[in-house]
Amino acid sequence: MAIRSLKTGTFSRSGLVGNPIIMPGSYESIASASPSGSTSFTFSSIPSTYSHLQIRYTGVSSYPLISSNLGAGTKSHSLYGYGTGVAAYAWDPLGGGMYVAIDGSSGNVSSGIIDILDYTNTSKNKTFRALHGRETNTADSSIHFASGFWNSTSAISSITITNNVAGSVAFGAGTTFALYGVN
Amino acid sequence: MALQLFKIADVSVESPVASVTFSSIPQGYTDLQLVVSSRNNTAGAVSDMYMTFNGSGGTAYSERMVFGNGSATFSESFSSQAYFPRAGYSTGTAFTTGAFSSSHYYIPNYTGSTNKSMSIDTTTEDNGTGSYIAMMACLWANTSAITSMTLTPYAGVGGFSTNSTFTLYGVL
Amino acid sequence: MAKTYTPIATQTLTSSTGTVTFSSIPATYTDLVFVLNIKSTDAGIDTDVTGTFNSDTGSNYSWTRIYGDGTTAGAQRTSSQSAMRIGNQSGTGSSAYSPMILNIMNYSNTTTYKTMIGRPNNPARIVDAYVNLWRSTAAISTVTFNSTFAAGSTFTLYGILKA
Repeated sequence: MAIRSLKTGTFSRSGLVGNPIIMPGSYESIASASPSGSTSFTFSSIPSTYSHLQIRYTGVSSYPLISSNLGAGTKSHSLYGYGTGVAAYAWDPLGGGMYVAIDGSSGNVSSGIIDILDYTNTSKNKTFRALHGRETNTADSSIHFASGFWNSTSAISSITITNNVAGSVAFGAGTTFALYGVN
Repeated sequence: MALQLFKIADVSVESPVASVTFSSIPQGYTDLQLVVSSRNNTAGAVSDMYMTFNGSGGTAYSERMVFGNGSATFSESFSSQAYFPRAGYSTGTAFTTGAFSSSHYYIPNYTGSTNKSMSIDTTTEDNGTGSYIAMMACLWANTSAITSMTLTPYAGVGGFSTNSTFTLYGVL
Repeated sequence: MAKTYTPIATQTLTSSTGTVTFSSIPATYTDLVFVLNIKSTDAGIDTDVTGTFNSDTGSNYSWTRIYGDGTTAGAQRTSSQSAMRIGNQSGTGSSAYSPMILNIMNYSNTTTYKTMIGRPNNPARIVDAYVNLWRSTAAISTVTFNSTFAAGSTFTLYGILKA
């Protein structure tokens, strides 16, 4: 049973007998980046102590590209709606890496959540799952439920996020990416 | 600050198993969250996973979904089933070795006295064109608290592969 | 590395109401996550839920969604609305509650417009995902949900803080 502090209004667990054992919280913030003005950035030296990773972001500008490996052997798929139409799509990310989320014209705000399960498992290729949306108050808007595949069993120790295919467009002001570990 | 996402249990398959069950789920949380990375030994690219709560069958399970296969989109619904027939995808043997699906399940108020609803997001992936992505809205028309859940790959042949993982969290 | 995913507030309805509001939301987190498990008092299985930020009812909202109703996969969008889309819930025509997970990203920044990624589910009617945009750079301090909510509906707010 949760205990609510009258002073702060926050909840805490009860360790009294009869209550479930309190385990340490499983969701931790690892790192964050505000890459405004940069064309890419890297979450490096990712600890291997978690089970899963989650990236949460709000981006300004176009075509975020998530890559752990800029070589071949990646694929992306999407189920998306763009206003009047719904479609499914598969593509090979240009230049390697993998698209997990696609944006559009510069200046538009997009947000998304990317989950990577078992990122340290060296017996499994890596699957990315993402929910991403770009809404502009115009028809140039879309919501994507997307996935990405990295054909490598290596543990993920770094993630590079590049804005657009050629990496030549900088992220806009207010862009923020945050990396979380889940036990 | 209180920390409200708690790992209850996890299963990592070390040799193929026909199904995975979380039993004796503690009743002290508000919601349940499950994440699954799975592969199965069924021939074919993608297999559905079945799910039941509390070992219960009957006709209490229903769901509706929207999904894409990399080139086309679809929507389906199921009612009065003995289990959830589309409770996430599991990658089959036709996909690249080492490719696993990724699924997220959320069950709010799992101990409440009303019927239980569940949200599922699921993807397979492969180094190929065809891959499935789906979202499901599910209903278990049973007012019992959820004390166990079982996942089984479709057709059950060969079961879940080694290195499939299932992690159950409680949310306060 | 700090643990996060912190509850901020919960509302469990003891009687039906048309409006549920979370106000004075602290600005100390990065993202907000709402988990709703709701039901309508309307007859039938198809009741929409809308919402506003900071009590703004101007034409400052737009959204794009993808959905499946069990037969058809589709998409929809609107512009310049006076409220955002939250989801669709069942009423007395179904025994199903409708779970919804709403992510409000970077809610307290004063540089960008605000987006919300939603995953609502109405097992009796429809499953969808959407993105909402609120064309305001103001920090979000109040969130209001509007519909016809039955007793027993729950609304829980969490905060996630980045490193």
